[in-house]
Amino acid sequence: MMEKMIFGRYIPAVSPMHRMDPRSKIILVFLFVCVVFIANNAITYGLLAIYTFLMVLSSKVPIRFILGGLRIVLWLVLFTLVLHLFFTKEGEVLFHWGAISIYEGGLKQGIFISVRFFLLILMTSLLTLTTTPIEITDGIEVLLNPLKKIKFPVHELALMMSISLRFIPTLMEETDKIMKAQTARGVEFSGGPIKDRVKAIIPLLIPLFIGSFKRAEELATAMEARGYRGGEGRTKYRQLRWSLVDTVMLLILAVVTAALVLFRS
Amino acid sequence: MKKLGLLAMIEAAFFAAFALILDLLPAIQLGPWISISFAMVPIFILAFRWGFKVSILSGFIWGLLQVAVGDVYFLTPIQFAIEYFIAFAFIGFAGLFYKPIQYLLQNGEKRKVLQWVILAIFVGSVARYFWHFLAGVIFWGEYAPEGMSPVIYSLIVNGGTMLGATILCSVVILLLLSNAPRLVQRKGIGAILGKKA
Repeated sequence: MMEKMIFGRYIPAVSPMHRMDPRSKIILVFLFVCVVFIANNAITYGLLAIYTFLMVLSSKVPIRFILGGLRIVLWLVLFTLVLHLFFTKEGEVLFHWGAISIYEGGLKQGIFISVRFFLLILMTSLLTLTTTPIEITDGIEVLLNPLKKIKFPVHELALMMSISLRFIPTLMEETDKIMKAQTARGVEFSGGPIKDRVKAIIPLLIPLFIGSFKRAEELATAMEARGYRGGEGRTKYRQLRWSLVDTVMLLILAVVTAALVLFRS
Repeated sequence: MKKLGLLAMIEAAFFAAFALILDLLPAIQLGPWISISFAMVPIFILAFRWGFKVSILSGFIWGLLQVAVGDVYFLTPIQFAIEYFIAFAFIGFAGLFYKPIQYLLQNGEKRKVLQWVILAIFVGSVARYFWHFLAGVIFWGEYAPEGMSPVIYSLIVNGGTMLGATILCSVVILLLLSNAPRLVQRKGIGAILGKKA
């Protein structure tokens, strides 16, 4: 049960990607997502593919691991490819067999779109593979800061995110414990008729909920006792630092973008 | 925006984490695209306890957690923004019915409470899955070839998931409420409602 609930996908390693500041990493991935849409011919897509491939290599995350996590999405990529092969009817007929005919336009469209799709997924999963959830939270907090102007509770949100992340393992352990206790009493969670499975959920949820209400109250009291008074003037344990790697990485992307604009048709 | 109580914030954070965990538990699968899960139950409970604002925040946190943990499907930028930053937050619309639910619970009118609860769950689910539906239309609009209707496809998948989730969540919450109404009833809520009633 517990091994099924492996959570978070961070893989520790020493690489430029890992050393980047979460802020610049999020910006990098965001920009990449926008830049991908510039590509519109074989050269530009090839360039993007090479860039992404080099990023993956430099991140030192085992490729097997990345692809393993993308299994479902790979099917989706394949599915879009097949759809385009059979349904886009543009250009010359390349292949004809009975009712099936594949057009040149369909093949091109299919390949381009699935490559774009695949690269997008690869880069976004690279972000979560090389950044811990708590780093991502810190990054999101800083990047959302401008929203404070419209009274969006950015600080509160970041605090809640870190509380959530801190308690996920605890809650998971508790869930596991209660599920085991119920299983020992003959309850089945993953099999049997639907009616029984729904009924099995109730004795799992009630103790979990009651337990977390208690815990929430304790945490609130503890925070108030230590003088928590909201966002203003709080200092941070984890400081974010912009370094050379960040600037270099963003510059590389800028160069790639320039090349894309140059070579697009 | 009025400052949120610390306790409300912490409970919202916990329950977002809960939703994330429940999403990992074995769900009832109907084909590869449609899986019915009761992961929304914690957000609904929170909505009935604290109301609209807290549950919207909690839903939003759930979405952010999915992103931070990397449990996301990134298909197109717009689809991603809609599905992870908007859709989850909209579950909080169930919190619009917080006052009548608390009031009726206080007065022990069980049957009426259940009706409001089901209505609230339905509204929350529709609000959420509307966005998933829209994201589906946008995604298929961008990736699918001409001649395939993205609207119908997305409607079938998301509508099916929504109905399943609504029914499952309603059943679970009704069972929870009849076994332990104190999950929803907040301590000292009588004083707050008393002023308004």
